[in-house]
Amino acid sequence: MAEFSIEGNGRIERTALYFNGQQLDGMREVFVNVTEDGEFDVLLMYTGADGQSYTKNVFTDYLDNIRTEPPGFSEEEAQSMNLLTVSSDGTLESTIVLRNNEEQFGIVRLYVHIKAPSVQESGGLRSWFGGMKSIPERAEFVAEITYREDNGELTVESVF
Amino acid sequence: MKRILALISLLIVLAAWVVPTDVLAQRRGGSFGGSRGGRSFGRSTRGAPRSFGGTRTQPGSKAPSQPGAGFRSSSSKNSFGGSRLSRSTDYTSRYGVPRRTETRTFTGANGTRSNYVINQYGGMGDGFMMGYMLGAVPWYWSMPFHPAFYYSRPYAVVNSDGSTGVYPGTFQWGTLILSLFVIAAIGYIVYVWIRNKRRRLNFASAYNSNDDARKSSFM
Repeated sequence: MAEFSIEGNGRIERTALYFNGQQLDGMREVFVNVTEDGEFDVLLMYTGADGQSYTKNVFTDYLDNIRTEPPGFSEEEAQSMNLLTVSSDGTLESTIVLRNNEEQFGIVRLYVHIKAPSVQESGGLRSWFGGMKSIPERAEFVAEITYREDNGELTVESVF
Repeated sequence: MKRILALISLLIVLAAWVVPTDVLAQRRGGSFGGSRGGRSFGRSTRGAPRSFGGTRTQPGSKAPSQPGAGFRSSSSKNSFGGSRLSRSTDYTSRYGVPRRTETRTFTGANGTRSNYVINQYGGMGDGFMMGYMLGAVPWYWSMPFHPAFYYSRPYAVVNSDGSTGVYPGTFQWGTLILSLFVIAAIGYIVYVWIRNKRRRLNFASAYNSNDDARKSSFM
């Protein structure tokens, strides 16, 4: 089973993604949407070692040209962060979610969307003629888990 | 939207800039040169088409009976173009008596000899007038960085004795203002481009220089 982790304190600048223990680099966006109804999307958008952009499903696709880096945060820094781990083989039945290494139960929905802000690129002369419109993308940071309580109520908790 | 408007304005100005103003003035058919307050000769209404003005009733503009004289024939006779005068007084009433007048004879391509009365007023227009009369105008005279660009072509009028009177071109304020406007517009575009580029670089360097950002998986 592959293990995908997100460690951070709620800011993109202090967010690290790990795949099977290796810290990933060159990430542009991560999107996780796993529901008890069967939705299972764990997607990564990253810039590979060859400079190309890739969109891959973490648990079912091979992560082509993905870049890794040594762990950026020290043990002390990690203590002030939260760690969300998804362990799965790509099916809902085998998926285990851990928060700070504690297994979670009663999850209705796991939703994570983290997107780095885009650096607006120059369109050159084409942009003057309206042929190239670049809309700057803003940073996005949403990570929440919806639980079903014992009494049947749904509660939403922010992860970081 | 702002960019599109700016671009359209720039294209219009560029088009107006490229079209020679003296050619426009000739087509206008009213005042020659078109830069001295816009007053038409012969009491024609400013901006009104010549066909509807009072110029045909003017004594001086009446077509002469002898061949080779008159506005139309003088236009085809002069090799250097720009004949906008129907009478020499049209020019002298504005710019005064010439400082120096000399008569020269030029031989045309078909061997015909024509007498030209060259009227000099002692300005830059004199030099440009001689250049136009020689027939070959350097290409850079049509460039905004050369003073000749801001002068109209010389004016010519067929005198009663059959000779052609030539008067120096006049400074075109409209061309100058238009040129300044175009240069300012180009400068503004370059400024905006550099400013945006600098902003992008600042953003990228600020993000990358952040110690936390280096540790993050996101770029």
